[in-house]
Amino acid sequence: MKAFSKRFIRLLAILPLAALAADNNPTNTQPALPEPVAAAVAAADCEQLIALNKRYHQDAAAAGRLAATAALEDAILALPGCGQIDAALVRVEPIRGVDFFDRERPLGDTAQGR
Amino acid sequence: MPRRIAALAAAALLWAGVVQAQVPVDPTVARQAVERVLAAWNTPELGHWLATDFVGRDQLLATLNFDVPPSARLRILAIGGVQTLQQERRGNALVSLVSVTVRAQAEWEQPGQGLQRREGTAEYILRISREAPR
Repeated sequence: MKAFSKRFIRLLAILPLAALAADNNPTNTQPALPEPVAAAVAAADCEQLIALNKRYHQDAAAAGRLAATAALEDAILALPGCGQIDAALVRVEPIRGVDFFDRERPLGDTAQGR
Repeated sequence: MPRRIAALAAAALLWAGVVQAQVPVDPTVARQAVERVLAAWNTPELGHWLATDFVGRDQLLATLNFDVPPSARLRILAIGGVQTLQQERRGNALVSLVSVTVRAQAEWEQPGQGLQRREGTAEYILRISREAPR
C-alpha cells in the first residue's frame, strides 16, 4: 500500500512536467484575440474591459466573439473589485458577547420587547 | 498522507492550468458589504441582505420585528481580518465565501433606563458574487 502511495505521488508530481513536454498548455492553443481586446486585457482597465465585453455580447456577428468575451470575462474577474458586486450574509459565527443574529435572542439576555 | 496527495494533486492541476488560482475578494468590498448588512440590522432592509439559505432567516426577521426595540441599531466598533474561504466560477460570475470579523455594539433607548449597550464579536460569513456585466 505504501509503495503504491509513493508511486501515485510521484505520478502526480510529474503531471505538470508531462503537460509541458506535450506542449499542452491551454494558453498556447487559444486563437489570437482582436487587437482592442488584447490591449484592454493587457492594460487591465476595468471600465474598458466591461465596455468591450458588453459590446462583443451585443454584436453577434463580431469576429472572434466567443474567444473575446471569454478573455474579457476572465480578465474582469481576475481584477479584484471589478464587475457588478452582490453580497448576502450566509451565517454568523459568534466569538464573544452577544450574537445579534441569534434568531431567538438577538440582544442576548436583555429583557426585550417593543 | 491523503493531505499530501490532495495538495500535490491541487498543485499539479493548478500548474497545468486545469483550475484557476483564487482571486482574493477585495477587502474594501467585503468591509463595505458587512457595514451595509449591520446598518440594515433591525430595519426592514435586513431581509434583502440575508441569504435565502441563512439558517433561521424568517425567525430572526420576526424576532427582530417583534421583540427588539425599534430604535436599536448596531454600531461597528472594529473590523478585523477579511479572508476568502472558498471561491467558484459560475458562468460569468465569481462567487466567493468571505469571512469578516467584526466587533459591534447594539445601542437603544430603554424608557426609564436610558441608553442601553450590548457588545458582541463575531465572524460574519458573506457570499460575495462578482459578475462580468454582459
